Amino acid sequence: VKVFNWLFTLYGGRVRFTVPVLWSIGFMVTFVIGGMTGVLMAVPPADFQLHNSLFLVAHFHNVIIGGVVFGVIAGFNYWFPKAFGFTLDERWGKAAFWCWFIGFYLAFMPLYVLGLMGMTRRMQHYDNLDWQPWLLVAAVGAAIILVGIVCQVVQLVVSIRAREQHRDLTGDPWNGRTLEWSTASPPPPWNFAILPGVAERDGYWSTKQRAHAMQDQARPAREYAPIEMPRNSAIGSVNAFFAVVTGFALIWHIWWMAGVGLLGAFVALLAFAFRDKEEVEVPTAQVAQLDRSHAAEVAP
Amino acid sequence: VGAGYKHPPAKNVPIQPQATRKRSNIVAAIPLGAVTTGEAAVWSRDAPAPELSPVAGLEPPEGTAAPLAVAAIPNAEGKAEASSRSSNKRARYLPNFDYSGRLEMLVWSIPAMAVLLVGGVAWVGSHDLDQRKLMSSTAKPVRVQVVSLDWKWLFIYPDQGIATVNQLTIPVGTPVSFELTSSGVINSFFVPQLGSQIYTMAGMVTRLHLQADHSGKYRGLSAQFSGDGFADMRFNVEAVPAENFAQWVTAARAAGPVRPA
Repeated sequence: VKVFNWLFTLYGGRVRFTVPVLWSIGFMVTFVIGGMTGVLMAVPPADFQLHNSLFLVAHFHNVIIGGVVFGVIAGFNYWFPKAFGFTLDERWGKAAFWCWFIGFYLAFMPLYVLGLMGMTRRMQHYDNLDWQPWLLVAAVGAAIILVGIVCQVVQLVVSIRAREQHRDLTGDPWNGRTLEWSTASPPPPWNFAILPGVAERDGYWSTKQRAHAMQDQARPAREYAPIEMPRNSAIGSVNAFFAVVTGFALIWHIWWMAGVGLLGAFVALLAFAFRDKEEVEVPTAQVAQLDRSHAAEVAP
Repeated sequence: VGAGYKHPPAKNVPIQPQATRKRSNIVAAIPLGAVTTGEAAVWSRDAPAPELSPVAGLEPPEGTAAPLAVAAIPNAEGKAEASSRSSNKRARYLPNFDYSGRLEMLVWSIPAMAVLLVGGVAWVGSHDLDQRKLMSSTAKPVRVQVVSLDWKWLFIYPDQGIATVNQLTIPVGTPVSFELTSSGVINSFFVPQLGSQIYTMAGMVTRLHLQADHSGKYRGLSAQFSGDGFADMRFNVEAVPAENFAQWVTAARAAGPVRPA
């Protein structure tokens, strides 16, 4: 059911084959295959044969790489501009995707075959010549994946070095539908200058439609108000430091150190509880200035 | 009061009213294989609709249930792909699409049927192929006791009074009833061509029933990592006609105690 959900997010849309979309489609295809082989192994009579074989290894890599790694990289490419204010290089991103995608299939599809040929996992050597060609193909695939990983790193380096050209001024590089794309990239600490009203599923999309329909009319002036923000505090890190000390000391039975860690964590907590000022107020002028400069960048 | 600034017009696609939209007659199913190879991304706008071809290379290598589900998905995915490329301006564009009862029906009924089918296969198969279950046969089963050692296999034939190392000889067409244990770490007794594997564990006895229908030599192995010698922890399985088996037993007994090298 989840897979259909994902597929139908494409339904009736205009699919642009950008890097995040490529990763998403790669994720869906690969994850479905991994899921299918998982269903096979969930059938005990098949599992009596496939257990501990390379078929199993191929299956779980199919699920983990296709389902987690591909999905995470799709999200990384998609939300990177929102977090850091500039988009990632598409050419290196596509190169990374195709190396990963092709490399993945070359590396792991042969393992299904090898599993069915009776090759078990965790062998440090083997003497079966029938396996050799399949293992060579898998090795080539692994090398292509390595190229993909290198492309991924290069993409990040190239994008950071050319960040001025890749600057995302609109805050909405993908013509997105959800609210995070309605604010600047990277967003100010208070996210939205004015709390957005949401009436439909894709809040930002409906706002855009309304704005488009009413583009000839004068928009009402935006009224800003000061925003209360929690003050930054280092207590969290201090607390975490003492928690690590406590954990380390408990593992190695260093009881005096465990005491120090617990005491430190508790004192840090007390200090946090007794602070006087918890919030700062962002003045109206600052909110308005940032919002207007964002709007100015958005306007053509 | 949303974020009411104007969006760049270039990105803003006007929406047509639903009633005037024409249903596109573009090919409704592109095999998933095309998507996997990325062809969908490179068709030019003017290129004719791609030919339908069977879903090659996608069926999982084995299994009864999977092809059904695989066959169902390319249609759904292919459709979404075919009608949704951004360069395909004839396609239906439904940016405000929200709900479809027919799609809900599809989305829930296919998985439900798949679960029922696979569940049925699993239930029947698990009881059918239970390792403890005796095989239905008129022949009297041969008993073999298996002990996994570091890193070799000991086979004891209690009724014949013989024992071998790394050599399992069995008569064709006769069920073999295994009782298995381990001298140390866990291993898994596995002859891929004969069927199910089973764990061997110290202090416990597991049961397995197999039968060779054809004479021949098969590879036996441990399928559970057990240490340094694991990769070479193999044994030979020889399935021979009944009279040859009797000869082999006699010869082995006459040979007397032999220390394996």
